[in-house]
Amino acid sequence: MFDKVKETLIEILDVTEEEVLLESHLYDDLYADSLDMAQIILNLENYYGISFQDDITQIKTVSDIVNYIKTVVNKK
Amino acid sequence: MKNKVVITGLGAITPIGNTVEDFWNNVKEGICGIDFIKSFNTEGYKIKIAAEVKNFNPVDYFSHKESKRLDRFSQLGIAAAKEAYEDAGLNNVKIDRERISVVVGNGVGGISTIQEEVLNLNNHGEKLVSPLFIPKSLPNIAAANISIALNAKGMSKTVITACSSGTDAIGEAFRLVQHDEADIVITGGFESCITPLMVSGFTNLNALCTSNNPKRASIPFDKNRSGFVIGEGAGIIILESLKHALDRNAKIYGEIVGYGSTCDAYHLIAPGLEGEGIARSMKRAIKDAGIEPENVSYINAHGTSTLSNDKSETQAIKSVFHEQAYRIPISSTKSMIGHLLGAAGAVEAIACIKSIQDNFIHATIGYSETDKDCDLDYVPNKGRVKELKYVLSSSSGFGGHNSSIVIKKWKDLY
Repeated sequence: MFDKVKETLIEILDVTEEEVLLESHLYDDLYADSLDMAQIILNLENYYGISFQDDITQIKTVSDIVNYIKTVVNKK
Repeated sequence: MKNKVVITGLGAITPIGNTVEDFWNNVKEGICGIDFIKSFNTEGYKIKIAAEVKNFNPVDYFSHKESKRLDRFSQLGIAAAKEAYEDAGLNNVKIDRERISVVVGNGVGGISTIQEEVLNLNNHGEKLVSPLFIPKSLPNIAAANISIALNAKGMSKTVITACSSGTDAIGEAFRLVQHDEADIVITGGFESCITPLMVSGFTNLNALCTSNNPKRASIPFDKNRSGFVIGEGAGIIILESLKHALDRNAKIYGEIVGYGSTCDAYHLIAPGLEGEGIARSMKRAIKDAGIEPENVSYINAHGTSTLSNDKSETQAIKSVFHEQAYRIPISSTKSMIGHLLGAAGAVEAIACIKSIQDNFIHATIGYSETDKDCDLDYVPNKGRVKELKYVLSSSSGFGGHNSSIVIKKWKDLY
């Protein structure tokens, strides 16, 4: 799951593989903005067939994304 | 007391050069930028030629991430704006950011993005429509992108009057500086819509040239003309109040002295009878400049190569200039670069500014057969040297929009 999230972040944020760590902060370390986040979430929603229901502003780090997807996928 | 408005920077991305210098050198040489369409497969399409921008590599101007967020019309506009801004010597100069505005024109907006996303929606459903769709394709978004790129915190506005957009934008920017609403305005126009959808639409409107011979397609005022050749590009001009330009010791190319804008209020795509709306825009611009028609030494015509435009524009010139119409050189830049739609007037204004600077009137290339309805001096096939002081540039657009500007040689160049 981390690999898919990493792949998505590399594609959308134009960052390197080395920069994407679980603890990386999406906004402070990877310089994401609201437009990036909309693309990242839509991309992952389509891939996993899920829907991000909660307030996505609570998602701050790479691990927040991975954990969120895990929770939603496990509920399915 | 109105401010004098001077031109201090130029930038261009065109089918015959991706800098002002390359563009102008090729214009002087009479180079034709029309060729077979490369951006999409034209098999099955009636029209196979266009005036595309060549060798434009977004990575020369933008990061990969920035580039993905920009439709090509924005990319061309920002690239030209950066050249103009640098040319004006504005990089690293301390200026009041709230007194820099952006007033630019485009006729169509991000149509290639719209087309792509419509196909996504149709083929894959709602969830495959990109979140970038709206911020890439809104018609105002190139203006906003230029403001962001150049930290221009004054007005940021898009003028949309179809193929008059570029000239109207320059005119509105001129007014802004005249009335002291801004010290500097980044103005001009851009367009990039050589897409299957737009080409099909213009084809079925019988607006495009039906010849697929690139050298005999955009032939303004020629008897055998049959329509325009779609082009793409960007032209950006930095306008500045004379006081602001002198205070910072800026290079001055020339002065904008007159602007006139009218509507035929007649028909969606046909010009007004006998070019009366075009004539009114020319008269207004000349009057605004405080000169008489006989003071105009060159006209850069809209000259689209359609049957109706070139005839109407010729009628308009005759009604404004009377007998003198036969003595004023008139040329159409579109003979070399096709019709840049919302960018046309802006790139043609740059051609005028360079004409004044070099005292050189460029040719209308590809011209061979005289039309009895178009019997003026269109500077056929060979440019000529002439001392120029006042130059008029004219544009018209679907909807019956007409606009003209008058550009004056800067006194230091007398």
